[in-house]
Amino acid sequence: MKKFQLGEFEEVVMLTVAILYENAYGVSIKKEIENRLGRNVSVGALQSALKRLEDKDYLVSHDKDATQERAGRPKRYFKITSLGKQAMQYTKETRNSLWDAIPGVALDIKFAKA
Amino acid sequence: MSWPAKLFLHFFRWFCHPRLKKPIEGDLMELHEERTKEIGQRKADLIFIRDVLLLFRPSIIKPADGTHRINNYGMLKNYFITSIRFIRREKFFSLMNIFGLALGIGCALVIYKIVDHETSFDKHHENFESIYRLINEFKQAEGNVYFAGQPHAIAEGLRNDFGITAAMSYYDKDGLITVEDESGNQKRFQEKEGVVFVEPQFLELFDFEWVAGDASSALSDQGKVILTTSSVEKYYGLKSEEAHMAIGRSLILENAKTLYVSAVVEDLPSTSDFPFTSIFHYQDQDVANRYFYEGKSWQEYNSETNCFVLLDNENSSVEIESQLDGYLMKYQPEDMASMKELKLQPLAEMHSSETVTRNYRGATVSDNKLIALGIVGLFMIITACINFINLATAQAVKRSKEVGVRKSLGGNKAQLIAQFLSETFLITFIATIVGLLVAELLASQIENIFGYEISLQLFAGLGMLKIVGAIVLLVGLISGLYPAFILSRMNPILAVKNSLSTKQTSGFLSLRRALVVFQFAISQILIIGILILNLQMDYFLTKDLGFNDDSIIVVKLPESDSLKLPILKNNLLSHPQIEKVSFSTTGPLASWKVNNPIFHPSIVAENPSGNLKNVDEDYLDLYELDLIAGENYKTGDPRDWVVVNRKLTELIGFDDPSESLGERFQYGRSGREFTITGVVEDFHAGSLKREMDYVILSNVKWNIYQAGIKFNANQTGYSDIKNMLENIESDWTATFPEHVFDFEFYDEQLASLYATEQRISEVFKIIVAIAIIIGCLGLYGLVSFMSNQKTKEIGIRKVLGASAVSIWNIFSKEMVMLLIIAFVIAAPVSYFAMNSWLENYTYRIEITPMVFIISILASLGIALLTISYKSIRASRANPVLSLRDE
Repeated sequence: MKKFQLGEFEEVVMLTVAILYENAYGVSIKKEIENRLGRNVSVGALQSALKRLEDKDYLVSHDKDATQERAGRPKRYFKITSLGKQAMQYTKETRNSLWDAIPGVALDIKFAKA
Repeated sequence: MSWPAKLFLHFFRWFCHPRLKKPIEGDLMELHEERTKEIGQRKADLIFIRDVLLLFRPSIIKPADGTHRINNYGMLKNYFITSIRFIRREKFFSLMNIFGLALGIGCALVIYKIVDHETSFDKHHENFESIYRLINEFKQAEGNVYFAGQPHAIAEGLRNDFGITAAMSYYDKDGLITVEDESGNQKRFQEKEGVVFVEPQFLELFDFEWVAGDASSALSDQGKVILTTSSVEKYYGLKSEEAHMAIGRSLILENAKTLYVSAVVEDLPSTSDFPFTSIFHYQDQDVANRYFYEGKSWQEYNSETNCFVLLDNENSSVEIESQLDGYLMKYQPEDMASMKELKLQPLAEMHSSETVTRNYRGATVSDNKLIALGIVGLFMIITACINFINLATAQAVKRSKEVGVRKSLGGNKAQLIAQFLSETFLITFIATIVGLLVAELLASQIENIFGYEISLQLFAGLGMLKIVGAIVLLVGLISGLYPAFILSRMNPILAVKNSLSTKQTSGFLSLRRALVVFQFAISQILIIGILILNLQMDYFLTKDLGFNDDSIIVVKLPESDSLKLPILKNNLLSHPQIEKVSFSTTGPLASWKVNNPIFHPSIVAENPSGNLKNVDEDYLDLYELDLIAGENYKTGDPRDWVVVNRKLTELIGFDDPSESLGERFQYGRSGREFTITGVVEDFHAGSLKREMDYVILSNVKWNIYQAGIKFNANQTGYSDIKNMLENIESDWTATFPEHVFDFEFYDEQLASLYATEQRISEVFKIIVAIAIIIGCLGLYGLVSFMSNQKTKEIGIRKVLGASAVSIWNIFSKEMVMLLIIAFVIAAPVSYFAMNSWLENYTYRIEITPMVFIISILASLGIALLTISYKSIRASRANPVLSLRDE
C-alpha cells in the first residue's frame, strides 16, 4: 500500500477543509479550527500547511470573487483531491488499527490512592 | 491601518511568493478588519504584525532565484534534458565531438600558457619600465649588428660623467664553491649556472625578495655574497624558514677567496632573465675572470659583462642616447670607439629582441616566434571547431524529426537556435573540462622539453579563468552557430516526413567540404613543417663538420696553464682504452670563442674577427683535422707559429694555401703577430647556423680549458666505458684534488648547440599529432554524414549487386579529391614558410619534392584508413533495413 504522509496539524486542516466543503478558504479554515478545537492558529502556520498539502497534491485551490472587505483581494478556496481523500482514509485506518490493537486492560488504568 | 502595520504589509508583499500573495493578503485584510471592529485598531494592528512575522517562513517566502521567469527555467531545463539525452543516445558521436574539442582546447591552453610565460619576463621588477641595458650598435653595410657586452669601467664612467644610476654585472655562470660544515669537512659544488658578480648599484635597479639582510648593505663591501634560499639549503642544509641563520657563514670561491653570506633572497622567479643563485660583489670576480684587470679596463669586452642603467622620468632614453653619442672617444682609441655607438635597450626587449640575441638566461624568444605559436594555437581551436561543425551537421538529419515537432508545436526559429546553441555550450563546457586535463598532461610533457614549469593555475588570479571562459564562449559560438542555423531553418513538414536527407541538407555539403579542405590544409602544412624541421635537425647532427667528434670525452681543466698538465696526460695515456689526449682552449666546434680582429695589408675594408684556439701537438691528430699545407707543431717551436684554416689564407690573398706558409699577420689590437706554418682544411668552428670562422690554432700554453680524450671505439660495453671513466676521474682528481670532476661526450655537447631547434621539433611533433587526430575526427564526421545521406543509394546499389569495394570507392573518390585540393593549398604555403625559416641558417637543407610526396601520401593513408572504417560499415549494412525506412 502506498505510504501517505500526513502530520497532525495537516490532518486537522484537511478535516476542516472537508467540513467546510465549498466554503474553505484561509480565514474560514482558521476560524473553524479555532472554534472547534479551541486552539489558536496563526495565518503563517495555516498558509504554510496549506501550501505543503497543495504541493503534495492532497488539496487543489482556485481563486474566486474579489470582495470589497478584502481590499479587492481574491479568496483562495481549497478542495480535497481524491489523493487527499485516500491520505485521510489511510491516516484514519492506521489510527483505528492501532486503537484496535490496544489490549483492553492497558487503558483500564486505576490510580492507586496515595 | 497605522503606518507600522502598513510597513509590515509592504514587507509581506515583498517577501511573499507571488502565487500566494493575493489570497493571503486578502485573508490578512479580512481578519484585520474584523479585529478592528472587535478589539480596536491598535490591537488589531499588533496582531496583524505578528501574523506577518509568523508568515515569514520558508514555504511562504519567494525563492531566491526569482519566480517570474519560472516558465523560462522550465524550458531551459528541458533543453538541458534533451541535450543530455542526445549525448547519451549518440555516445560515440558525442565522445568524438568532446574529444576533438578537448584536444584543441587543451592544446590552445598550453600554448597560451607558454606565450603568457614568455611575455611576463622580468615584469616583477618595479623599475621594469625605466631600466635599460647598454648595448653597442655596429654600423655595417648589410645591416646593423648589436652586441650587449660592455667594458668593466663603463658604469663607473656613466655615474661620474652623467650622474646616471648604472650598474655592471658579469655573469660567470659557472663557479667552484666550497663550504665547510661544522666538523670542518669541506664540500665542493661545481656550479654550472647562477654565479654572478654585480656592482652594489645593481640592487638599486632590480628587485629581490629579501629573506634576510637588505639591499643597502648586502654588497656594501667586497667579500660579501647574497645567496638564494635554495642555494642556502644546498650549501648549508638550512630550510627556507631558517635561512637567516646562514648570515655570516663563509664559502670559498674558486679555491681562492673566502666570502661571507650577507643576505638571503628568495629564489628568482622562473620568469626572470637573471637566473642567479649566488650574487657576489663585482670586485671579487678577479678570481674567476682573468681579463678583469681590477675592473678598470675600457677596452676588454665579453658578452657576459653587461651594463644596466636606470633612467628617471626626466630623461627619455633618446635624450640619453644622444648624450652618449661619441662618449667612448674619451676612453678608447679612435678606431675602436668609432666602430660603434652606444644604444639603450629597454628591459622589456631583453627577452624578445631579435637583434641582440643574448641575455643571461640564454637565447631570446622573439615576438614573431610567439605570434607564430599563437597562430598555431588558434588553428588548433579553429580545426576543433570545424570538426564540431562537421560532426554536428552530420547529425542534423537524425534530429530533423525533433526540429519538425518543435516547430509544429510553435517553437520559433530563435528558440530553436537557442536550444541548439545551449546544447553546443554544454558540450563545449564538458570539452573544456576534459581539455583542462589534456592541457595538464601536455603541460607535463612540455615541461620536460622546455625545462620550466607550466602550471595551469586555474584559480590563481582571474587571468586563467577569464581565458577559459572566453574559450568556452568563443568555441561555443563558432561551432554552434552554423549547425543551429541549419537545424532551425528546416521545413517542419519535410523534417517530420524525414525526406530531408536528400533535398534540404545537400546545400551545406559544399561548405562542409570547404571546411574539411581547410582542416586538411592545416594538418598538411604542419606535417610538411615537421618533416622539414626534422630533416634540418638531422642535417645539423650528421653533417660532416670537417673533424671527428666520435668517441671523444671532454673534461674541464680548472687550472689552465698548470705544470701538472703533462703529468695528467701521461697518466691518462697509460690506460689501454685511451688512445689520444689533447689539451686545448675548446674543441674544434664550441659555443664560445676568443675573438679578435685580424690585420693584414691585403685586408682593406673592415677587419674580420679571427677565432683563436690554443692547442697542443696532438690536437690535429685527435680531432682528425685535415692538414693541407705546412707542418704540425713540434715541441720547442717559436710561440708565434700558428696553423690556420684555408679560409684565412684566402682572406689574406692566397689561392693556394701552400703559398701562404711563412706569411705574417697581426692578431688583435695589441700588435701580436703570427706566422703561418701550417694550413688545415676548413671546418665548422661554430654552429651550422652561421658562416665558418677564420680559425687560428696556436701552440702557446695559455687559455687551456679542456682535455679531449679519444678512447678506443671498440670497447662499447657499459662496464668498459664505466671502468674507463673511473680511471679518468681518479687521474683527474689526483691532479686537481680541490676541484669537482665532470665530463661530457663531445658529440652530445655538439648536439646541445641545437637544443632550441630540438625543442621546437619536439613541441611541433605533439601539435602535429593532435592536429592529425582532430583532422581525422572531422573526416570521419564528413564520411558519416555522407553515408547517412546515401543510405538509400547504398541500399539500392547493394541490391543491384555492388561489392563492398565499389561502395568504398564512392566515398574515397571524393575524399581523395578534397585531399588533393587541400594539398594544393598547403604545399606553397608551407614551402614559403619553411623556406623563410631555413634562411636563418647558413648551412641548410634544400626543400626537396620528397617532403611533399611523403606528406600527401601520409595524409592520404590516414584519411583512407578513417574513411574505410565508416564506408565498410555502410557497405555491410543490410539493404533491407535502409530501404524499408520510408
